[in-house]
Amino acid sequence: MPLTLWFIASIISLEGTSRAGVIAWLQAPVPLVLMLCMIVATFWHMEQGLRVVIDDYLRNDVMRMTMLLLNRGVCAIAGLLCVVSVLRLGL
Amino acid sequence: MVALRLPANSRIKQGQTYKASAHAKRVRKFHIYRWNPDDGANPRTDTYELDLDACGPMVLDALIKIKNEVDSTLTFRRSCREGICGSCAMSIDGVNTLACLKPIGDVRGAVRITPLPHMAVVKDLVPDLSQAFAQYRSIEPWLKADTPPPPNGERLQSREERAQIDGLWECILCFCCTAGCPSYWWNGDRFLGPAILLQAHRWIVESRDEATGERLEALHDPFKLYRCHTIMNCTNTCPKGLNPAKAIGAIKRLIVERQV
Repeated sequence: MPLTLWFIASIISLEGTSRAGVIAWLQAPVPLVLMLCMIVATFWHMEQGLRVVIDDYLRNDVMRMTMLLLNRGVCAIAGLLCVVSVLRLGL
Repeated sequence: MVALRLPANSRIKQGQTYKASAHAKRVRKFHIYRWNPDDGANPRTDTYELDLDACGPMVLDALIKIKNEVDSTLTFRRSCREGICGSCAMSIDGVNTLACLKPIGDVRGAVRITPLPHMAVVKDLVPDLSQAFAQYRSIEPWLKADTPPPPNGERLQSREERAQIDGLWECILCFCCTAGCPSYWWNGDRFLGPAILLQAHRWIVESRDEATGERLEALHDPFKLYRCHTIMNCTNTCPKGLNPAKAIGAIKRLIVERQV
């Protein structure tokens, strides 16, 4: 929750900055780390939320297992893509 | 994959209409779900017109009058007629409640009466509660204490400790809440449902019980407790004014506190 508030505040404060300015902001250690935490938290939260929906509505075990694994896979890959992108900008 | 209509033998048909006598002034229609397991027919809705001037104020009074004077094949559970036994739980005007506590005057227009939703029907308005009671048994709703009781047999508790179970002990296990929970509809075989979770909380906060840890551990699985998504139908519909949603929230909090 505090992380989300920080994220929103940062995005608002970065309004109007050029691309170079955003990258420079991201290269400082604190925004970089917090941004990475934000990405991990978001994709973890997304995976958990979808997991609850899958558990609720898919009764067939084969279908449920498949969707649960697919869920984890997609969230993990998407999360890693975001993390790698941020790292490439920030490091 | 997905069924948009009920199976053919489950679709509710229009049934008979029983008219009131000609000189009745305040007439109300009761549309009641009927199904007999022995005749192989589809469920149907029978309409009974009753003279409210010759009937008691509650829906149960109307049902009993119908059974006594109009159609003795109408089947429903009832016992205390005062809202303490939990037998007459049914869906009246779309809300799960006790027929003996629901005034007919509270319903506008025709009174629709159906059995508790998503419960197997034994006959007419009688639901099959065997799964719900089996789930009750599964939470071991009795005092578990290794310490022997004092010589006079009384395990004492203070007023504050006794106050912990207020709002929990009053549950009459009518299952109005459980039958109204969409999570229980879709996952009733594994989700315990609000009534049972309320009782689980009653035993968890019981000061004389020593198995609190085990009780919390037993609920710590993705289905028994965590299918609750705070839909809140349970608290909304409880005819005794209890709050299962709050009890479930308290159990979730206790589980988190144990882990932290």
